[in-house]
Amino acid sequence: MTDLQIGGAGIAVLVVLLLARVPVGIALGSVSLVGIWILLGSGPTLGIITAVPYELVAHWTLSSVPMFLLMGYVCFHANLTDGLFRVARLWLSGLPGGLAIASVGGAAGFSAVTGSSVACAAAMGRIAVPEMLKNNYDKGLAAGSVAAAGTIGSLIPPSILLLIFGIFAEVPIGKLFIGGFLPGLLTATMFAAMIVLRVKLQPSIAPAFREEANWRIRFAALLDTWPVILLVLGVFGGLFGGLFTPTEAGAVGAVLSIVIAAAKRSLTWAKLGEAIIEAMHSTAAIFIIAIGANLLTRFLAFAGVSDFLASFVISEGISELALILGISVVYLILGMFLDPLGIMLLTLPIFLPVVESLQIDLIWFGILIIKYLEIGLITPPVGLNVFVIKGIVGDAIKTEVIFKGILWFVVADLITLSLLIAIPDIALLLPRLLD
Amino acid sequence: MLETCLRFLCRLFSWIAMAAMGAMALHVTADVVSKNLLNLPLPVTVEMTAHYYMVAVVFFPIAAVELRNGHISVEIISQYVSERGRQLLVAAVSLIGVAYFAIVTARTWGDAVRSFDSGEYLYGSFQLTIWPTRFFIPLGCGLLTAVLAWKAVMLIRGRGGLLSEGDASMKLD
Repeated sequence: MTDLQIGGAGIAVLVVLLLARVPVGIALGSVSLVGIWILLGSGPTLGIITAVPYELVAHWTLSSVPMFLLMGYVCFHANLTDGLFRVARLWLSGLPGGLAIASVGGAAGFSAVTGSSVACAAAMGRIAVPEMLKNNYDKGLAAGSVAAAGTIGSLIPPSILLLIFGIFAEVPIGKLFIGGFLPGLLTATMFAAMIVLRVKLQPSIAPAFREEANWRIRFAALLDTWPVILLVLGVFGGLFGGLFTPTEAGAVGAVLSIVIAAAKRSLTWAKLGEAIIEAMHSTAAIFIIAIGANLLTRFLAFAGVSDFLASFVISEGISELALILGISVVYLILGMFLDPLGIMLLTLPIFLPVVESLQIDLIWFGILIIKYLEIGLITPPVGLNVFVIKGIVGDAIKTEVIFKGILWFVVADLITLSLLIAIPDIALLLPRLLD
Repeated sequence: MLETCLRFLCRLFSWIAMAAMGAMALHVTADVVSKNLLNLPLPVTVEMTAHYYMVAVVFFPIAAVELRNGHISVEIISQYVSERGRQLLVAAVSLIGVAYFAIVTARTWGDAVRSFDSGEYLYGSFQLTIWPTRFFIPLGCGLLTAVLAWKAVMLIRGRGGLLSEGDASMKLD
C-alpha cells in the first residue's frame, strides 16, 4: 500500500467507527495513531501521543473557549436575557407573524452574549414557544422559528465555533468575530422576511395580535434589557477599544456576567455552580475532539492526503467557486447527521490545505463553514436545535412538525448562503475596517 | 464499592476543575483590570492560565463527562438498534476508548515522572514550576480509562440505566 492509500483507508475506517457510535474524539485519535504507526513506526507515534495532549491544551489563546462558554451559561441560568423577548415583542408584534419575528429578534440579542446556537435556541424556546402557542400560532411556525433563530448564536459574536475555527486555521479571532456580525444580522433579516411572506400568504398560521403598548412602555422595556446591553458594551467595547485581547475578553465577560447577575439578584450559588459545571463539561468534550483532530491533521499530512488534494485541485484547474460549492455539498450532507464541532474538526484537516492553496480568504471561508454547520443544526434526521426545542415543548409538538416548520427557514438560509458566497464583502467588510 | 470509588473520584476531580475554572476567570480579569488601571500586569497570568488552569479544566472533568454520556458521538445507526443491542454496541466501542486512553495515560505518566525528576519549570521574570500539571493528564485520562472499562463490563451485564445518565441536563454545544 502506498502512503496515500493508507491515508484513504484511514478515512474509511474513521467513517465506519463514527457510524458505530465510537465517540468522535476517540475515533479521530485512535485511527490517526494507528495510521501514523503504520506510516512511521512506533517511535514517532509514541512521541506524538506523549506530546500532543499537553501541548495542545496548555495554550493561552484557547482559554477563551471555557471562558466564553461560562459567560453564555451564566446568562442562560441567571435569566439575564429574559427582557430581550419582551422588548422584541413590544417593538415587533405589529408585523405579520410578529411573535415569531420577535423570537428571531430576541435570539439575535441573546447571540451577543452566548457563543452557542443550542443555548440560544434553548433560552428563546422556553420563553417564546409557549407565548406563540397561547396565541394560536401554527405549531410548526412556533417551534421552527425558534429552532432556526437559535442558529444566529454562532454567527453573532462571541461564537465558540468561530473561536475554534480561528485557532485551528490561525486566523485572528477579533476579525472573525466582527466578520460574523453582518452575516448574523443578514440571517435574522432573512428569517423575518420569510416569516412575513409566509404569514401574508397564509394568515391563519399566525393570528394577528396587537400588543397594547405605547412608546413609553416600549422604551421602558428597552431599559429592562440593561444586563445584556451592559455585558455586550463591556465585552465588545473593551475588546474593540483595545482594553483587552479576544483571549482576555472571555474571562472578562464571564466575570462581568456573574457580577451583573449578582447585582440583578438573579444568581444563586446553585445556578453559578450549574453554569460552571456545564461550561467545564463542554470544554472537556470539545478538547477531547480537538486532540483527535490534531492527530488526524498529522496523520493526513504524513500520508500525503492533504498535499494530494491541494495539488489535485490546482492541477485540475478547479475554480474557487466550484471548490466552495463542492465543499458546501459535503457540509450540508454531513450536517444532516453529525454535530457541528465534530464536522468542523473532522473536515478542517482535509479542507484547509486545499482552501489555502487557492488563496481563498480564511475569514470568509470560516464564516461560510459556520453557516453550513448552523444549517446542519436544523436539518433532519439529526438536528440538535430541533431536539432542544422538542425537549422544551414535550408532547405538545411532534418532531416531524418542527422539522416541517423549519423547512422554510432552511430555504431562507440557503438564500443567505448564496448571498454570502456571491458577495464575500458581507463577511469581509467589517474585518477590513479593523486594519 | 468500585462504583462508589469511581464516582467519588469523578466528583473530586470535577471540584478541582471547577476551582481551576473560577481561578482562570478571576486571574485573567484581575490582570486586565490591574494592567489598565494601575499599569501593573499580574505576574505569570498567561503561564498559569495555559499550564495550570487550562490543563485542569480540560482533563480533570473528562471522566465525569463520560459518566454523564457527554462525550460527543454520532447516533445515526445506534438509535435504530434494540435496547440490548445498544448496550452491547456501546460496551464494545468503549473498549476502543479504553485502549486509546490507556496508551495516552501510560505515555503521559512517563512524561510527568520525567518532568518531576528534572523539576521542570518555565523561565521568565518569575520562575513557574510546571511539573505538577504534567500529572493532570494521566490522572484525568487514567480515571476515564477506568470508567470506560467499568462501564463496558456493566453494560455487558445489562445495566442499561448507565446510558441515560445525564439526559436530564440539556446537551448544549
